[in-house]
Formats: sequence, structure tokens, C-alpha cells
Amino acid sequence: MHEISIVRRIIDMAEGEARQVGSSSIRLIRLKVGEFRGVAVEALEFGFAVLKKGTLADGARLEVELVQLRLDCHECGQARTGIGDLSFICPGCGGRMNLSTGRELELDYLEID
Amino acid sequence: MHRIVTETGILDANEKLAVENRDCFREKGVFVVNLMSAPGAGKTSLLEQTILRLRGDYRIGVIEGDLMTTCDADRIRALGVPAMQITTGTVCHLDAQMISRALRSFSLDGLDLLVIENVGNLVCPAEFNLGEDLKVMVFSTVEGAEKPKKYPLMFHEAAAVLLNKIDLIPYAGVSLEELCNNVREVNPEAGIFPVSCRSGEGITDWMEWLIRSIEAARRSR
Repeated sequence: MHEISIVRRIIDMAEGEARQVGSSSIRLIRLKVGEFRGVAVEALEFGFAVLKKGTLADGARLEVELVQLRLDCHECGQARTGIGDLSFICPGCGGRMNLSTGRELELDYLEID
Repeated sequence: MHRIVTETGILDANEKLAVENRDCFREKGVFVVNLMSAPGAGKTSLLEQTILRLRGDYRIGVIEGDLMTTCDADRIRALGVPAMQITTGTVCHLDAQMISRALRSFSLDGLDLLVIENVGNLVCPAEFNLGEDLKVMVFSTVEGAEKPKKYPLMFHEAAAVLLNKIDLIPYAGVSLEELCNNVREVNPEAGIFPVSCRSGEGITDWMEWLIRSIEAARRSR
């Protein structure tokens, strides 16, 4: 539900980067979004389509790499992936699992003209 | 065509402001709780119960976040505690910048405890650090035992989860045991407190936990 403010932030960051190298046209904005993040990709895409108008990203595509959640047990080393039936308790030994990936929310790279 | 690799966190700006807020709280010696829940779970009721029991020993202040209305801040002021209302309009969560702005007009001088009551929302507030010492979550038990699995993020981020409205459990057909197990699965370290803000049941355990947390932070300063 806060995707609009996140999109605004993404466009600001991308415009800042483009201006720094004297570009006035962004072609592609590439994000990494972890699945254990309160961010809906469709809402990002919708927000981007609306908010990019009149910015340096007006002609840009938004690409989102969804990063799967991965938990690793620090007792026995067992790993599990995917957010379905999330549990931080290790199915193997009952130990505490640590989050390795899935909380990303970053501007990965831009392509500019 | 040219590629610029940035690999920058989109919420880094919020994180930076949250660190500034935290430094400000430390400097003033104030312990800060970010209180979160879905709408109607009982954040303000819990806050009232907490204030009534703590106000003799701790000087408390409250920042209230809401989309509209100042009724929550009015309820808190009625207890003799300074309260400031942030009305976010359409924004579904508080962020570090809103708190930073509020601190320009809300004095922390002399306070021991600041509670920031976030906007009622089960997802977004968990994404935005405000500079708090602790995130605390209130969940209404009658919403169902499976919710920690469906909305794991806030449960995962909270240091304590209060399971409110246990007086209604007999009417709702919810298993408290299943609910507690689900909270533990998404957050094995969380303090779990079944409470009823209406009857006062369970509030003592929560109070002891909160006081221990405040005092531990004081000792480490």
C-alpha cells in the first residue's frame, strides 16, 4: 500500500544518478525485491506507469527481479527456500533459522542513453 | 546506451533519518516504543492500560499516527500525558521523516518513555524504522490463528507480540495455542503476551517485560 511512495523514491534516485552523468533519458530501471518484503510488484508497476510521466524515466521500462526467501539453520546447516508456510524453526533440528535472502529492496542498476 | 550499477537500498534515506532520530532519543535518555497493529486491534487501549500502570514511575509521552482525526491523542491527553497527533492523510504508515518533523515541536525533555502509535495497518509500518528501541505489535486474537503465517512481516519484526481480546476467544472459536505456535514460527524470539485490555487480564506480564526492557536500556547507556 506504500508502493507509490517507494516508486517516487525510485524515480528520484534514478533521476539523480542519470543527471550526475549528464543523461536526460533513462531506458531501464532494474530493481531487486525480496519476497519477504511488504511490497507488491504489480502495485510498483502501476505506480511507475503513473509517476514516470514528465520525468527522465518517462520512456523507461521497470524490471523487477524477485528474490526468493532463503533461511539457513545455524545449528545443522539445513536450508529452506520460498515464503510458503514460513517458519524460522528448523524442520530438521528445531534450531533457529536465519534469514539469508528475501528482504532485498534495492535499485540494482539503470540503463541510460 | 550506458549501464549504471547502483545497488542502493530504496529505503536507505529512511534508515539514515531513523539513525538520526535514534541518536536524538539516546541523547535525551528516552526509551522509544513503536507500537503497531492492524486497525482496531487495540493499540490505544493497550496504551491507556500501560499509561495507567506506569505514569507514577515514568514520565511518558505519546506520538499518535492516524490517517485522520485526533481522537486517539485526545484519549491519551485525558490521562494527563502529553500527546501529539500526526495525521498522515493518505499515507498508510509513519516514517522516520514524519517523526523527525514531529520532534521539532514535541519536546522530549524530561521524558523516560515515548510511545509512537503507528497508523493501523498490518503490513506497511513494519517496513519503516523510526529510530525506536523496540517494535511492539498488538494482534486481535479474534482475527484468527493463521494470521501470523499470512502476514508474517510485522510478527517477525516485533520484539513483543500482545495477543489482545482474549476475553472474546470463547465466542470466536480461535485456538490460542495454535496462534502462539504460529507467532513463534515466524518469530522464535518474540515475547508473547495474551492480554485483555478490557478486563486487564495478562497486562501485568506485559508491564513486567516492558519495565525490564526500559531498565536494561538505561543500564547500558
